Amino acid sequence: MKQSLRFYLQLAFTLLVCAFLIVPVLLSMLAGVTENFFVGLSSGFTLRWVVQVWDTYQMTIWRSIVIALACLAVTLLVGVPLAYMLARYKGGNSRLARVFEELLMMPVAVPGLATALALIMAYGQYRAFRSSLLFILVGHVLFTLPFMVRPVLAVMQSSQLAVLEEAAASLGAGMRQRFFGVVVPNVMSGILAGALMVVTLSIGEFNITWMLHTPLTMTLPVGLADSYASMRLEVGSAYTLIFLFMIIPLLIAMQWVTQTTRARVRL
Amino acid sequence: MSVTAKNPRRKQPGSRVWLFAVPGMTLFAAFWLLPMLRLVGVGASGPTGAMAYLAVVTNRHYLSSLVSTLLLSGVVTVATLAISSFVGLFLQRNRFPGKALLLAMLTFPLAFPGVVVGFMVIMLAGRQGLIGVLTEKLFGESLVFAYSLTGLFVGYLYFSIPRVILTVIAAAEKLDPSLEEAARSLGANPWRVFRDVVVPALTPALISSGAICFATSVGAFGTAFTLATNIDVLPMAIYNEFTSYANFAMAAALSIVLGVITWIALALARSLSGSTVPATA
Amino acid sequence: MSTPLSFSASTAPQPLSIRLIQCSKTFGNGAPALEPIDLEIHPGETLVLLGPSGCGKTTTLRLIAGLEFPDAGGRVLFGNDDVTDLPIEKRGVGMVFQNYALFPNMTVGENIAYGLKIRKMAPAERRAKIDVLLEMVHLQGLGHRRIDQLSGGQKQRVALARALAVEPKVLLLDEPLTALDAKLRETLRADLNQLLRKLGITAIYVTHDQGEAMALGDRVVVMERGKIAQIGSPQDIYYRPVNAFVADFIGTMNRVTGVGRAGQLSFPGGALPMVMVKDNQTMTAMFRPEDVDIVPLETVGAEIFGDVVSTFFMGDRTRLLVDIGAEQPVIVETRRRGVWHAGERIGLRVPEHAVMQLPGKPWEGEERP
Repeated sequence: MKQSLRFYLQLAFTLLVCAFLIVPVLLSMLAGVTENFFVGLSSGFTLRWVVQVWDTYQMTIWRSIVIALACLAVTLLVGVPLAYMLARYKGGNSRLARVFEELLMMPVAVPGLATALALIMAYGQYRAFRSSLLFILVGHVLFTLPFMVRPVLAVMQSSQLAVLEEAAASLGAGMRQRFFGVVVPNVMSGILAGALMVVTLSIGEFNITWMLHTPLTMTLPVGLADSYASMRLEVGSAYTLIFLFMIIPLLIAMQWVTQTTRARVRL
Repeated sequence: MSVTAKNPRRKQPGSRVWLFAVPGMTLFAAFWLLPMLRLVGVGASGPTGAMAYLAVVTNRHYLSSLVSTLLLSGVVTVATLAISSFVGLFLQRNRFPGKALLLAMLTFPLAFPGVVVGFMVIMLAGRQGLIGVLTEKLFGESLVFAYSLTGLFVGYLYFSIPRVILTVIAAAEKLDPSLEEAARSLGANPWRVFRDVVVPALTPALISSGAICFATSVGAFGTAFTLATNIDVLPMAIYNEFTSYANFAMAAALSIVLGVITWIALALARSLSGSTVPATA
Repeated sequence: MSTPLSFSASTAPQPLSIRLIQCSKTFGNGAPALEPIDLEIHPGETLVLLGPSGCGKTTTLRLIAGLEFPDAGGRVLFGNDDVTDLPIEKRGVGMVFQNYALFPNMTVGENIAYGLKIRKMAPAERRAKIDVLLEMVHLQGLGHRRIDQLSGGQKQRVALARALAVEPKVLLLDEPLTALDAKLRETLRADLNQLLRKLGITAIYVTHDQGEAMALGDRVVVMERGKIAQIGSPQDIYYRPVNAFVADFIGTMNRVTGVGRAGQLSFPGGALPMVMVKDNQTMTAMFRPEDVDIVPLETVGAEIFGDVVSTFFMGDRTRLLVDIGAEQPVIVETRRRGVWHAGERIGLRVPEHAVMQLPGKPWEGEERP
């Protein structure tokens, strides 16, 4: 009996924490489709706020998607080979590789504010660059690159892959052939995990983007901040609702990927 | 290119692998490393020169920002560790229907950017927030604390708890059950088992995730920005210097200092766990 | 070396008898890990639970330990006390785990003394006890070492010392030598054997290694799929297995199927003496490799002729694989000095007393060498 009382108390606390985290989300989702949040549900359901958000902030949504996909492309092209170097250079144990890994993590370890400031100071004078989406893309790539490199590197470092490469080499495959024929196909799980992470992070990136954006290059999170500050609660909620709908499938996909890779890969 | 002494014609396997790193590191050097070095220079280019870097301790305004930031982050870290360990251990050790759903709900806010977390705090404790409405109904006076340090505290808790819960669960899963059984076989009651076996085993994970939590809170901007621009934490101070006062040198210097603090905290985390789970807020 | 356990004679625990009455165990996923068994363990004996993985031996050990509770109706008795409802922390057992389960945050000495600390023994007394135990397991002076500085064999001995420190009524060992390499296992097996004899404590030992079982056990319990196949002394089990599973699990068994003819079992390559077979009855005979004699080809009355398929010289004996026209080649083990070649014709004789006929199916576990 004492055992189950303890269980229920712990469960109650857990549920309380859960409520703390989820209730505001539900409230905001509700507010996004309620006529008047202050009055409450009795004021009726409506999609006018969602429509309003779409009218006002549509471009931000597209921009975020475009940037996220571009960011994915860049991190793939740049990050996967980089991971390979880190895994194989001098047998994977070189100090250079450690230094590179450490450096790559810096834009994440250091507040986005600092990274953004540095970019503005260095390249702000190039008007065309400064006011283009490319500027924001650069910030996103710097921030998300380690999230592509890490999972891919982890898979590449597995002894299984090293043996496969050795087998390919023994059969005459050169470095490029090995990379595209053996390495890339086998690190797909790492690439997939990295890709989902990169896209999710890019869509939600705010700290760097806020400093880098101009009124013409607003992304979704920037738009969100704008709407929280200047619009009705219902509008901000509707906007958040749209954001959540974009994020949730990505999160589910990430969960699913980690489940299946955990089942297959012995870490 | 390295060559073997014996046979100069034979290439070492993979000796050109370093080429694979060129695009990435060039990008990095051009857009982060060099600009960052330049920023350090900018920080020292203001009227006070290199002394600007010490302004964080010499200037009273900045010092109070720094202290608030560090204190707030410290309290958030302790509170998060306590709450998340409790919940994480409970979830890892018990099986009951709906557990997967509960876990999903608890870790869902992981993906929220700081702005959205700020909005959640407003929904909870803002002028039209849940707590405000409830306290108005119950006590006649509505309790609104979203736009203060308390609100920021709640916001930081909001994005820290899911992170640490995941770490605790991962660490708890690696616990060797035979260690606990051995302790029990020697007569230890559940409390002693917890104290002598579980806690020491979890400590590295707790310290490392605590350090990450601390670093995230120190560097968080989005949440503070959403809640109000007059909350006195260092990231906001930097933002104001840059946008309101155009005091680039000061902004640069302060952000370098902030960067150093967070980097040290994360380096500590990494030395204990071997990997950093980086943060966004 | 000091007296076995330096416990004064008056406080030395009397060896305990243990009884399991109709104990079974079914886990959440439905399949029973243990069918209802009755087991009686004599005071001071070393009982070995032996069997392939999944046979229920570890489950049985955990039931005795108090880490699991038997399904309704089962009872566990320590001496005259019913301990069925007592969890492990109250049973006063000493347990040695397969991967040692040493506390990584404590030194060797602290590990050993953990149980004593819980029993609130004074520090000075604890230290003295630690020294005695370290000497008993041949680890003198290593009390301050950290666990990660120890070799596998040393860790196992610390685990043993830790379990013995609290003067348990019964010592439970869950495959303690499995994690060690072969040479080390042999040395430690001998040490362990000596220690258990000297202490005179009731010990229950789980293993899947039949060599270990026969070397250490006063009695061996062979288990299969949650049931007890046979209990007996090592000699009983080896010479008089009750069924094909036990016969095949312990040591190696040859199998020959044939038809009865005048007190012999006839098969394409020859005949085996087998009194119990009736004429025209089909039967399978089993016999051990070491019971097969190699006889000169000219021997009159040599019943079996075969061709050598392969030979394995093992130093102290030679193992031959011989095709005698039965369903599979037989294994012959001889200590004779000699060299046999593949393809050579050879004469074999199996004495009558070595031929067994056993019910049941043999163990399907490993490939035959």
